[in-house]
Formats: sequence, C-alpha cells, structure tokens
Amino acid sequence: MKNSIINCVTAYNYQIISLILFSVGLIGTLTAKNFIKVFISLEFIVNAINILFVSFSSYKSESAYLGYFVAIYITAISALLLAIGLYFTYFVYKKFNTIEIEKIYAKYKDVKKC
Amino acid sequence: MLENCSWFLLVPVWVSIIIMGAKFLGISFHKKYIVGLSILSTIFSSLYCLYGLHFSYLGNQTEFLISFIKIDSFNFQLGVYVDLLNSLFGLTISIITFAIYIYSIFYMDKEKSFSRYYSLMNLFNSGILAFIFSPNLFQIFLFWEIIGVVSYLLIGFWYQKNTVSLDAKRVFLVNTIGDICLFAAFIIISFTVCFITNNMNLVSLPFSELNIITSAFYGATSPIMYKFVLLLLIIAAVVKSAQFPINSWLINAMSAPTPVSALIHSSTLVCAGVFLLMRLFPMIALDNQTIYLVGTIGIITALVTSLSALVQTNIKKVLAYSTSAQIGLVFLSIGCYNPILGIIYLISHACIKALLFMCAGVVIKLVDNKNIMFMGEFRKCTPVVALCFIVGAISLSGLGFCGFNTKHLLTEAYCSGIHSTLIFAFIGALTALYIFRLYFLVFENTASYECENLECSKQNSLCKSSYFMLIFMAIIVILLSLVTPNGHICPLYIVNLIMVLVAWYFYNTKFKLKRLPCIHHILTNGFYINKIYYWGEIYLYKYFSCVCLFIDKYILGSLEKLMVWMISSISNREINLQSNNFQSYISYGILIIIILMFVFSAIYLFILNLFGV
Repeated sequence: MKNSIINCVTAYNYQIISLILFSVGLIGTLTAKNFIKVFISLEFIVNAINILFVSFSSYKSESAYLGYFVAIYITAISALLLAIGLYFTYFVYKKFNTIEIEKIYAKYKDVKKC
Repeated sequence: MLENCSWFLLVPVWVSIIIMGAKFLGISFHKKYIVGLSILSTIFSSLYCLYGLHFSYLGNQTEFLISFIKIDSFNFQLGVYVDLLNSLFGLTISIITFAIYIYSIFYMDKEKSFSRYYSLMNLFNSGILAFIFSPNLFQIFLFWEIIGVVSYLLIGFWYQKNTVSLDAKRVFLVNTIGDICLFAAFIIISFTVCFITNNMNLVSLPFSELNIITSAFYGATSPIMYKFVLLLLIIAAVVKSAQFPINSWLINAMSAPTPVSALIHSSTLVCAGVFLLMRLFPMIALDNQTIYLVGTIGIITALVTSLSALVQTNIKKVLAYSTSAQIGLVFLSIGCYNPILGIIYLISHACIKALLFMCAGVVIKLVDNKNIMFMGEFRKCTPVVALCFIVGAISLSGLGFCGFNTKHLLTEAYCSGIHSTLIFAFIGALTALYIFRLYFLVFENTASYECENLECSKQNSLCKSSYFMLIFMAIIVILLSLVTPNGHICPLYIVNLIMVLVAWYFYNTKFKLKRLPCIHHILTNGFYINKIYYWGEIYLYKYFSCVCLFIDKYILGSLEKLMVWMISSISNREINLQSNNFQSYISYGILIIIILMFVFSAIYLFILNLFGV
C-alpha cells in the first residue's frame, strides 16, 4: 500500500475532454448540411472552452475562482448569440424555404439582390 | 642465396605476359621461342626447388615476405615459404610441366592459338608454384582462385565448340563453392585468432606460426564451432580434389585438350585440396571426428569412382575417375594420421597419371577418337607408347616401381582389421582391373584399321619427341621407386595380379562378358551424380524463378500500385477555392490559423533565443 500509484482526476483530464468536445464541434460545423446543426456544433465549441477555463482554476493564481466567472460570462454571451442566430434563420427560412445549406447557396446565386 | 633466387618462381608469369603482350601488339613469336622460354622457366623453377630441397631436407624452413596491404600492424603478406613439403611438390610439378610443354609441341601441332595455349599454361604454372610456396592462408586463397580461373580458361580452350564452353563454365561454377567455403573459414579463423591474441600480425594466418593459431583457435571456439570451420575447409578440399559428392566436375573437365588434362586435372589442380589439408594438418588432427570424416570421404570416393571407371568407353573418363579414386586414397592416408605418406603417394600418383594421360593423348591424336571401342592394336603400331602405358599401369595397380612402395605403405597404415582389408583389397582389385582393361582394349585388341594409315608414320620427328617425353616420365616413375621408402610386401596384391589375368581373359580374347543392364547403366553414368545435380539445378532454377515472379508481381507490384494511388489521389483532385457552402471557408480559415500558430511560435522562440533565454 505504501508504494501504490493512485490515479486521480487532474486538470489534464479536463483539458482532454475539452479538446475532444472542441474537435467534435469543429467537425460538426465544417461538415453540416443542416443550418441548425451548425449552431448546435458552435454550442459544443463554446462548452468546450468553458470546461477549459474551469480547468485553469486548479493552477496557482491570484483568485481561485477566475475560471468559473469566465465560464458563466461566456455561457450568457453564447446564449445571446444563439438567439440572434435563430432570428437570422427565421428570415433565411422565409426567403429560401429550406434549411439545407447547399440548396440555400444554389438559390442565393439566383437571387439578384439580397 | 634462396632469397635472391626467389624471382625464379616469377619467370613463368613474365613469359606469359610476354607472349600475350606480343600477340596483343600484333607480334607473333615463332613456336620455338615460345616453347624455349617456357622450358627455361620450368628449368629455373626445378633448380630452385632442388636447392630448396637441399636446404630444407633436414627440416629447416624459411620465408621471404612482401607486404601486400599494411596498416600499422595489420599486415597481409605475400611471399615464399620454403619447406620440405613445398620443395618436393614444386620439383614434381616442374618436372611434369617440363615434360608436358615438350609433349604439347606434338599435340598442339596444327593449332592456331598456339601462343594463347602456352601463355595460359605458363600462367597456370606460376599460379600453382605460388600456391605451393605460399607462406600463409591468404596467399593460398588468392592463388586457389587464380588457378581455378586459369583452369577454366584452359578447359575452354576450344571454346568455339558449344559443349566445351558449357563444361568449362560448369567446372568453374562448381569450384566456386569450394572458394566460398575456404574464404569463410579464412575469415572466421583470422578474426577469432586476432581477437583472442590481440596480435594483428597473425591476420593472414602464416604457417610459420601455425601452433599459435591452432591453439588460439581451438581455445577460442566451442567444439561445435571448431568442427564447423574445419568442415568448411574439408568441403573446400573436397570440391577442389573432386571427391565423392562433387566428383562430377572432373568428368566435365575432360573436354580440355589432353596435355591440359595431364597437367591440371591429374597432377596439380586436384592436389591443391589435399595440399591445403596437409598444410593445416595440426588443426585438423586436434579433432577425432574431422579426421575420421576425411578418411571416410576418401575411401567412399575410391569405391564409387573405381566402380564407375570400370565401364567407361572414353579413355579420359576412365583416367579422370581413376584420379578421383587415388586422391581419395590420399585423403585416406591423412585420415590415418599420416600426411607424409600422403605426400609420397601424391607425388608418385602425379607422375604416373601424367604418364598415363600422355599415352592416352598420343593414342587419341593418332585415331582422332576418344572411344576405346574404336581403338586397337597399338602395341604393333607404337610399341613405345604401349611400354610406357604398361609401366604406368603396373605402378598404378601397385605391382611394381613406385606404386608398389606407396601402396604397400598405405596398406600398412590402413589395413588393421578385416573390414578395412577387404575394402582396400576390393579397391586395389578394381584399380588393376580398370587400368588393364584399358590397356588390353586399346593396345591389344583387334582393330579395324591398318597401322600404316595412322598419322604417326608420316610425321616421325614430332611423334618421336612425344615418345621421348613418355620415356622420360616412365624413367621418372621407375626412379621414384628408388627414392620412396620400401614397404613390407603384402600378400594382398596377389589379388591385383589375378585381376590382370582376368582383364587379359575378358578383354583380349573373344570371350565377352554379358552386361548386367541395371548395374551397367548406373556405373556408366557415374552413379547418376551428374544427372542429380543437373536435375536439381533445373528444378531449383524453375521453382526459384517462380517464387521470384510471385514476389515481383504481387508483393512489389502491389507496393508500386499503392505508391501510385497515394500520389494520384492527391494530384487528380480538382481544388475549388469557391464552393457551395460557407463551411469550406471556415476550414480554410482554421488551416491558416494553425499555420500561423506554428509560424508565430517559431518567431517567438527565435527571438527568445536571440536574447539568450
């Protein structure tokens, strides 16, 4: 028992999770055919960044809870941006009558003024 | 005095270079000058050997060395090492070469490439002398290869004929196996000895320090490794001296002109293997099993080849098989821990065989046919040749002259029990039988031609010169009997006398033995060893080439296709910077960001480095 290795969850583990979530979100944005899937993937990215900032709270710093403050702030802002994006999709849907990106682009070329 | 005269051994090389160089430049010497120079070179070498014999008779040895490659104490040396063994061999070879050169005037009379023949013979002479007088294993290996190459050139002397060039190629390829084994053994011994003793002077394995080498090598290796290296050496000797598993090259080598066969494949080249074993006898004698192996190989060869020699219809093949058998008996004498007996046997055999080959050459030249079934009644046509042949045959079968002494000494050494005596008696009987069969079929049988129609009656002087050489060799054979030590007369050799009578009865009179078909075919084809090798080579070649085809087509071919696919999949794409979705722009952006990350970090670290952090 004296020489046993104890594994514990460290900040490194949180950062790995953040990386995985970030890559998932990135791939989602880049290969999405659906307009709304893009926004969902952006949320993934934002949440990954949140986790990253929270993991920095274990390091030595002047204030111990800086990461948490940043996370809450970013969550709020992302919610705002999401709302604006949804407002944007409403008008896009009204104009082009689809959500799929390729069809929107095709129709966008036909429209002379937008 | 010996040191200053060592250049005598180099004279044949110069003669060879002079002849070939002149031919290259368009000058062709008259025959008499070429032959005169060659004979002069043999006289020089025989004088040197005589003086060496006088010097080393009481067991002295000396050596004169030149450094071939020298890096501090890492020293490969070439030179001359004079010893009793060396001088004896050198003397016999010089005398035989002298006889062959004069004999060749008769045999190669109407030959266009006369100068090529003599220059190659001189090169061979110098090669074998340098081989024999070599002070270390490095020089032995070097000249082993050289005499192999020159033997190839001489066997393929009439290369315009297809079979001859194929035979020569085959002989050379078979000899390469022995070369590889010798080279491997040399490297292993040299490395271990120099590693253990930390003395780089021994890197070329000089024979003056054979005791140190033997003890160092024996101590440094495990018994199995020691036996393995000695096995390599024995394989090299077996290949060169045409012993049992690898004796078929000697049959192929009979496509050579007869003087070449007389010199090379009866007296000198086949002695090279045994010479190696005699030189390294202290090493080989340390291990019981290797000596036993040497003796066994010898006796098996003697049996197999003597049996094969009984039914051949080509004179030269009988004599070739006979050579293998007698060298097998020399191996046997080494197997009885008696290399000195082997030396004596080898020397007497060399002279006898040269004599027999020369007689056969005269007979072949007169009838233009090598088949003994087309010969006969030579005793009336050329009584001198018949007399010399009888001298040789009597010697070979152990009934008189020098063969008598040597065979009886060998019987004393070997026959110590009922089995060995029986086998040895059988081999001796076979020897007498095949050689006297040859005599009776060639010289006594009824022939279909008249004596006067033969060439010899027209060109008397040339024939007489060859006769002189035959008589010369016969006299040498008789004189050797005075020099070799006498053995006790053995009642075993009555068997041989009986065999002579048997041969007279069956081959001279009208009584013909019925051939046993199965055995006759096996013996005529030399126990099918040659055919097994051909078959094996063909099948090996076929299957090896199939394997190579498979690897080439499927494994390497698929690798090629992979490479092509990898590169074409990139190069055949159409890159569209503007696409129908905005996400591609995002991915370009991320790519640029990653590149910029690397660039900026590199600049940052570079600047930090500048400030010496």
